[in-house]
Amino acid sequence: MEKNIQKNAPKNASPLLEIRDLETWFYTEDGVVRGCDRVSYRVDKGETLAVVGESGSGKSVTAMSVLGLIPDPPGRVVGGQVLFKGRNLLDMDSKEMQQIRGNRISMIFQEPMTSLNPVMTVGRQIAESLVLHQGYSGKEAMVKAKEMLAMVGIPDPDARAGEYPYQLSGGMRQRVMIAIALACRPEVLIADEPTSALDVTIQAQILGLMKRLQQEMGMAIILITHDMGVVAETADKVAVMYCGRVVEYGTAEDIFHDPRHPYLEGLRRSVLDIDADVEELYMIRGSVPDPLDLPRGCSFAPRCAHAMEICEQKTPPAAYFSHTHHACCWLYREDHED
Amino acid sequence: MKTDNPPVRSPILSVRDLKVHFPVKQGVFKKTVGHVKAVDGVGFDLYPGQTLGLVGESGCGKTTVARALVRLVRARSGSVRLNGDDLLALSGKALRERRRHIQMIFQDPFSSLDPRMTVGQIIGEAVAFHRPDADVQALVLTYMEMTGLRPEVYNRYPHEFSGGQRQRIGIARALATEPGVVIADEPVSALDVSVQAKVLNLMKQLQKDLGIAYLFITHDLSVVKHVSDRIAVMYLGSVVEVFDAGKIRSGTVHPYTRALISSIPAQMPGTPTEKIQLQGEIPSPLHAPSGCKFRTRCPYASGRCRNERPGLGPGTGPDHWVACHHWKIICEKERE
Repeated sequence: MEKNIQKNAPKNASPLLEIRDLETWFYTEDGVVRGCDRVSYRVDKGETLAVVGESGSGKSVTAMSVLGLIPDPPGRVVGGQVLFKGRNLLDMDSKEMQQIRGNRISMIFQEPMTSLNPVMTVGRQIAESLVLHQGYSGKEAMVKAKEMLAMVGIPDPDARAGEYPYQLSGGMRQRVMIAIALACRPEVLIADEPTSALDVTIQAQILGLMKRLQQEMGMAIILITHDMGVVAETADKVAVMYCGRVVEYGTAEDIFHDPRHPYLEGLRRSVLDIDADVEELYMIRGSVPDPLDLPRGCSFAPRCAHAMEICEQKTPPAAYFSHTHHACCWLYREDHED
Repeated sequence: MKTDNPPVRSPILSVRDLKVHFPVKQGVFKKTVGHVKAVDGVGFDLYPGQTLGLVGESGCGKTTVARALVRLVRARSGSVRLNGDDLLALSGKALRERRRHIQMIFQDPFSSLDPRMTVGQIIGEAVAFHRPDADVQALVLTYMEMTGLRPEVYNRYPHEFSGGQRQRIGIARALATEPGVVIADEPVSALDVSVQAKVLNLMKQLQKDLGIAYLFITHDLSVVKHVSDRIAVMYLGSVVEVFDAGKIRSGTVHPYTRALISSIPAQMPGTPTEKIQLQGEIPSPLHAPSGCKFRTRCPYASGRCRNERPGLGPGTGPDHWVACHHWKIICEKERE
């Protein structure tokens, strides 16, 4: 199995985490929603991959599928592979998965208030995973928990460790979430909109903290966000999602200086730039289609200024511009005549 | 010789020394043990057809200002003059009549529309109340057209719409009484960027067509820069600086404003940005620091800042106001 991956991956490095053709479907009363439709991306050690897209584009569904956190029913991972150091996480039983989740791969959730346990002190919440995964005794874990609180920049960690989430501010709670996620020194950190609920000055603090910890610990980060500014500031690679699919993938350089997919172009142009003076903002025409009733072919075709006949019939395959940069759009495929 | 002074204009909305304090009660007898000074002496002028952006981080009191202006919360003191009449001093019929001229667009397009009312009823409710002689249905349809809602949706319910569409309903509702002032409290924060652009363009177009003045409240500096003529920055219940929106990068002097602006992420990777990272977080308004409220996080704080609260005073130009003891020194240091 190991050999197989080596053959397909670019020769320079073997990926730490690779998602291949992942499909997660939700079976709802009104029909099947393809929350994540043949999504592929990879992230290497010490690297930050940003997954961007608007709400409902499937960014979080993909991440939840990686950790086996999709509620079933209605959701189910129906295809694809999630390879962590060459092993397919989707083949693991729940016991094996527990060894990975929160230990080797951990996650920071968007809402720090609802994802922390309200009736447990923050110190114990950090210590819990250390006891569970790393075999610490309760006492040792508590000492370590306080160290973690100090590391994420919480003043007076000894006192704070004994407090409950409601006693902390939003920024503090997000720091606690980061401390929990990093306690076991994971190799991959999935951060789902870690700063969206926070103010800009606190956002700058948290992003700075994540960057510093990444440099210290060498972990890979998958950063899920809708904010192109956050992407510009933190990402090495970027996956752009639309209606459950990755429509463009490339390095930050590719995505910002050489965007190819019409959706990405539209997204980039509708972002407000504080240093630009524009009378009227650029608008992508139309709106995101109903996930229960996606258009045939390319999901973006009804809103696309360049749409051709084929776009409405066949899903566009990837067109490669370099070995790091591709977009799924018929504009860049020579083979669309047939 | 020509003077560069702008023509004398009178504000449509003039707010002075507005204070909103919430009592904190404790114990069996609900004794008042202190006050949260949510809004502590806020003042500004809003001119006809213009937009004043009110920015600040969560908890700084910007939403409370909005709610106090339309008297959804009680102000402790101060004055809110709409075309000269003090809204805080009016009551009963006189107040109801004035309310027609100051309307509000709310942040959350999901909870601010009554789920059991149709679009037509939602937009028409205030029209029927404030403009009893008007043909309500015709008026509602006019405003629906203006905000880009198709006439077929007149009898539909809010749950049938997306976030952006619902915000259009909220805007139509606010405009239908023909107000001179519209207070928009985070109108696009709940929307995705591509939808946000549409709503902002719509609001700008309506301002041009109808000459409305907006008080635009947001935490998003890029949004506020785009929509505003002038920007007021709030920190812990007070306005710390007011400046011309075009000068957002170059014309601000207050250390908090500058830190806020520098923390906006760059739009291109690799852009060198000088980040002023503030220490700590906003203190609780229940235990606001003495003197200047920003001093606990300010790199320039001195003994004077501890003892004396700086008032909002004239700054570098005619449209610039700042509340800081040391802004001149900070400016000089920057120049070096």
